[in-house]
Formats: sequence, C-alpha cells, structure tokens
Amino acid sequence: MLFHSIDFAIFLPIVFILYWFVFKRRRWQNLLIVMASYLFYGWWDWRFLLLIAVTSISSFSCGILIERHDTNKKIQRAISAFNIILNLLILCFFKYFNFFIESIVQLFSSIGIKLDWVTIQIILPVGISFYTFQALSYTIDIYQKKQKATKDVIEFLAYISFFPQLVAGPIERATHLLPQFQTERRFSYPQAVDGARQMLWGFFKKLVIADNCGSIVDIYWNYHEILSGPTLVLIAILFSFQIYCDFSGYSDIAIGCARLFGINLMRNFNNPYFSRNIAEFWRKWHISLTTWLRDYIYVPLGGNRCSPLRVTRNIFIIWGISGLWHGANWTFVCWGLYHAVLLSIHHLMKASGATLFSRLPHHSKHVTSIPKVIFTFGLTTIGWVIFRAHDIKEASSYLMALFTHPYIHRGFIDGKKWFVAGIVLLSIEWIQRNRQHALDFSDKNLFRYRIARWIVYYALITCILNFSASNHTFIYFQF
Amino acid sequence: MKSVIRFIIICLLFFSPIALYYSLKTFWLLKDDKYKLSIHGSEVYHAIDKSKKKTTYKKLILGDSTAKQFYDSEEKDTADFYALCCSQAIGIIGQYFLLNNYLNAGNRPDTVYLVYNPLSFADNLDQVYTYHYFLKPFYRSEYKPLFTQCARYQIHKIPKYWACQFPYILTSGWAPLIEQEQRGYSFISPVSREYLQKIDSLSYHYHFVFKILPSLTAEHWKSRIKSFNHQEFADYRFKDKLSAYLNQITYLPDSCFIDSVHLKSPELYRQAIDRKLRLR
Repeated sequence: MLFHSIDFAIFLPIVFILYWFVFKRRRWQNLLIVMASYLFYGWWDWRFLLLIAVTSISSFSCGILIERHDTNKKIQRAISAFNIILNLLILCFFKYFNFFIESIVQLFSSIGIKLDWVTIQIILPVGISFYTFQALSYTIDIYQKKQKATKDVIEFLAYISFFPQLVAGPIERATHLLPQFQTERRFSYPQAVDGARQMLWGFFKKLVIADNCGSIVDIYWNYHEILSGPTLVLIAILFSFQIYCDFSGYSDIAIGCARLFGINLMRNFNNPYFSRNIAEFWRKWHISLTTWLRDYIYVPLGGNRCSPLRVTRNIFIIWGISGLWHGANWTFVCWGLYHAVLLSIHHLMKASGATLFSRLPHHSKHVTSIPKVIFTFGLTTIGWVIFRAHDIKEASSYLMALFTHPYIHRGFIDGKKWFVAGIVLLSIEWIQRNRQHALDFSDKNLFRYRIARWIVYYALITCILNFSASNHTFIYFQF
Repeated sequence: MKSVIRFIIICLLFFSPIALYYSLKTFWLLKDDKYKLSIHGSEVYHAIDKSKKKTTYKKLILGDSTAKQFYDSEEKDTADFYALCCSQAIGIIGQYFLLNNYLNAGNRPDTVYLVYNPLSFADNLDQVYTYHYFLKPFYRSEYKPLFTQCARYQIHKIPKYWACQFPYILTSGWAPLIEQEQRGYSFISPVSREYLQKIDSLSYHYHFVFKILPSLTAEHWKSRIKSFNHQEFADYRFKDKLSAYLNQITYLPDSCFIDSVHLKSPELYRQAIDRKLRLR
C-alpha cells in the first residue's frame, strides 16, 4: 500500500479510530498495529508476509536464547551468528541471487569460459533491506547487552513491522522503538497535530516536487547522448532534488504518521544539501542507515581510531556494503565506492590539516560556507548520476556527456520551474533547520493564529491537488 | 479521549471546505461534459466525438501522437482526409473503437490509414496514461461489448479500473500507479494483435483498404526495431502488412526529435508524409 494511494487514505483513519477508541489497552494496540502492518505490507503481495514473519520469529527467538545463555559466550555467539546468517541469506537470495549469477557468468565469459548458469525470476519484496537491518540490530544489541530481549512476541512483531516505517525506514533501533511499544501510549493533541503537519509536508515534497522532477528526469535521461551540457546539469540537479524530496518526503510521512499513534521515530534527514563537506553530508542524509553501518560495522572494524590505511580500508568496506544495500547492481556498488573515495580523501585531508577552501576570507561563516556547500552538492550530484544510471556504461556516458557536451544554451526543457521550486523548498527547510520539520510552528510568531496556519496548509493541499504527478512510486521502496 | 475527538473534529472541519469545493467542481464539470475539455486525454474525447459524426470523406487517418503531429484531429480537416489521431495510450484497441464509431455513423471510407510509431504496438493497456486516455473514455457500457477476453483480462489488472467512471475520479487528474509488466514480446502486444485483426476484419466487411504506415523514427531506436521478433505476428492474416510496415520505416537523426519520438519541426516533413499517404 502506497502512502499516496486511496487505499491508504481509507486505511489510516480506520486504524487511527480503532487504535484510540476500540483497542485502548497497550497490548491490544500492539496487536492492532501488527494486524494493520501485515495488511499494509500484504497489500503488495501476501507472499511477502511469510518472509517478514520468518525474519521476525527468528530474531525474536534468537533474542530470547541469547539472553538465556547469558553465561556461555560461545553459545551466545553461535545463536547470534545463526540469526545474522539466516537473515542475510534471505536478503541475499531475494535481492542478490540473480545479480551474483549474472556477474559470475559475465566474469567467466570475459576470460573465455562460457557458463550455462540460469537466473530465476524472483520478486524483490519491498523494504526487505530495511526490516532485515532492523531485525539484525535487535539481536546484536542483545548480544552486546545494550538491549533486553522481549518476551512478548506481539510487541516484537509490532517493532519489526510498524507500518509507517516498514518499507523505507527510518531503520529504527530496538533501544529506541521497542520501549515505546512496552509503555502505555496517551494521545497528545499537539503531537498528533504536528504529526499531521509533517505528513502534509512529506506529501508536498513527494507529490509536487519529487514526482514532477522525476517526470522530467525520466523523459530526458535516456536521451542524454543528444542533450547539451547545461541541460544535462539541470537533469542531474533535478534528480538530486527528486531523490531528496522522494526519500525525505517518505520519512516525513512515516514520522508524522507514527506520531498520530503516539510513537516517535528517529529523524532521517537534516538538510543534507547544505552540508559543507561530504562527511557532513553523510551525517545528515539517511541518518538511520549511516548510523546503523557506523555502529554495527564501522566501529567494530576499528572506526577512525586506527592507522590512516586501516581507516581507509574501513571506509571502503562500509561504502561497498552501503552501495550493495541499495541494490543489486554494479552502479550502486560504484556509487558506494565513489563516496568511499570522497570520504577517504576528506579524512586524509582532515588528518593532515589541509582544507580545500582554506584561502577563503573568514569574515562570515555563512558567506564562506556557500562555495563549500555548492562544491559538496556538486559532488553528491555526480554521485546521483551513477546511482540513477541503469548500468555502468550509461553512468559513464552520462558523466562524459556532462563534461564534454557543448555548453551552448539551447533553451532548457520544461525543468526550469521545478528547479526553482526545488531551490525554494530547500530554502524553506533551511530557514526551519532548527525544528523537526518545515511546518513545525512551535515557536508561533505569525503562525500563532490558526488562520495563518490553515492558509499555509490549504496552499500546500492546493499545490498537491493541482500539480502532483501521481504516477511515481517511492524510489527507496526498491531497496 | 476528548483530545482525540477534538483532533478528529478539527480534521473534519479542515477537510470539509476541500470536500465541498471538489464536490461542487465535480458537479460543474459533469454538467454538459465540461470535464472532457479540462482533463488529461481531452484529445481522446474530442476524437470520440468526431468519430461519431457523419462525413463524406473517403480517406480516414488513425494514429498515435506522432501521426497527430501531422494530422491533428483537433484542427480543421482539409478536403483530403479526416483525422482521428490521438495519443498512443489508447492503444490499437482505442483506434478500433474510433474506427467502429466512424463506420457505425454511416461513413464509408475507401482507405483507412493507421500511422503509428513502431514502438506503440507494444502497448498492452499497461501504460502510465492508460487510465486517463483509455479507461476513462472507453470503459463504458457503450464499448464493453466490444472488449475481447484478452482486453478484459488486461483491464482487470489495472488498479481501481472499476472506479474510473466515479464522478470525482472521472473529472479529476487522479489515476492509480500502473506498473508495466515484464513483456514476453518485443513488438506487438496480445491486445494490439487482437484488435489489429479486428480492424483488418472490418476492412473486409466494409470494403475499404487498410494501410499501416510507420511514422518517422529516430535512429536511436533502429537496433531495437531491427531486433523485433517477426514470429509474434507470423500466424496472422495481416503478417505481410506488418512486415512491409517494418521494412518501410524511415529513420531520421536523433537531433530531429524533441524526445526521440516526436519531431522538433514536423512541418518540414509534412509534404513527404502526404505523398506517402497519396494525399497530394
């Protein structure tokens, strides 16, 4: 079920009313969340439910077993390893089986050996990478004694399958989300209103900005070989806007929706396109994944506290995994490695005390930030070109065209107004950067008057109803 | 509990002006079919209305948007031909319905041309705009008896197909997300094949010559078109027509196209196309 579908518009009010009026007790509310989440997820394909159930039950049982064998570290490790391997096997089979087979066949054919291995048709369950990582973090946390295993299966199923964040995150940690299912929830009017506002902002970002940018990118991307330099730059920037508004829009809807049920989810984006360097960008983009990778892979590998060579190795491991996590395609791996290169350079420069913009005058922090922000945005946009391409050949041909095609202005295509709209949206978010989201009117000012707030809401709804290009799913669903 | 009720009341109050506005707007648009001019696919409604008129033209041109660049059904017709070209999203099935309307109106053309992009035959009612361009105008009692089992099967795969005639949906720009299926064919879809056969049958029944002509195509698509599997239509009566169609495609450099499908300056090629159709 998509957030921007009629199905969800019917589903959400029904679940909301049942949650607060019928299933008033905590355990019943958790049960309702599980049923609603399974209905939400099964709406795509009921067979997906089997997978999420296996992942959940395995992690739940392993959690209890790890805690039960508190004194025997070896058994604990074996159980933890079993759960990790099982979940990764499921993930790898559904997401990477064909990719690996095709890659091996290609590799061997390049050295003249012909393999007759066949790929099989596998449907990729939506959001499998998200809930698998969430399940993995639970057992790892128990193993590391950061989290107590829950004995209540319903509460655990609710934690894994909570429908607002089930298919595209934020990837929650048990330490943050599980306790919320273990305590009574009280309806808070300000929290619910703020959640609804955040949902509205998310819908606006997704349906108006992301989808319209996406429509233009989809049309022109395939013809990059014949487009001029400025047009290619514009298309690449529009894709940067699309992916941000699509994914952060989803996160806003998810966080806002969860707040209607008295649940707080972690923040997933924090104005990433205003970052002054690539490391800062990754602290602000898809925060839940970056922190997951940092805590469960990067830090155990040694993190930053080792020799520069090992730090570089760690960065490459993390970003290789991050690339593969995003999808079974070499473009994602290359995109991950591209960021690994950028981060390694950044780290080495930082370690040696060198900076790219050291010669800029230090009059004003904001003024000197502008070239840094533009430079970082340019680097990430190049990364998005690799990310968006269907294969490496397409990525390299686009990048080549981006730098070699004539920079003669032949008149931009229809994208100009959405470019401006994207800039305006980012600026609004920047102005509201110290708040939870762009429509957070907590410190009032003019917005202490309901009429002023409602004018803003109606304006956004008018834009959604009149300018939405409704034929796009969320980009991150495929991951 | 009071605060939940308060929240629900505020939400209802907030959304009621929007609901009221859209109800009134829908009512206004439905009156005198004004919605046909304002929504996606207005050209299809125009073509449908036009297809039901009695005329004396002997040459009828059907086609997709590439044909519409030359023979726009929304422009005044010349003395030579009558054009019913509109978007490819109506599919060959939609072209059949337009032709059927035209014949049922008592018109008796001697030649019917289908000017079509080689890539458009693959439309299996699974396009992004199928809901707006095909379902809303054609999924009506008037056309339902003309649906084959294959077409009905495809239509039933479209999400919320049953809701397409609901007043609010019919008059709005809303459409569900249609995800294209993995295709087991390269050139012509099962639905297109069936309805091309039906058009062919009409030509025998009403004694007109039915010609399928390719629109000007970008070089970009050449290799893909060359790889089309001719076995997909090998068993059909119109196989020779389709083979000839594929053989007479004229390729132009990619730079002549806006989006590799539609020409930047169609007026430059108008005479050549007219000659091909023997309109001059």
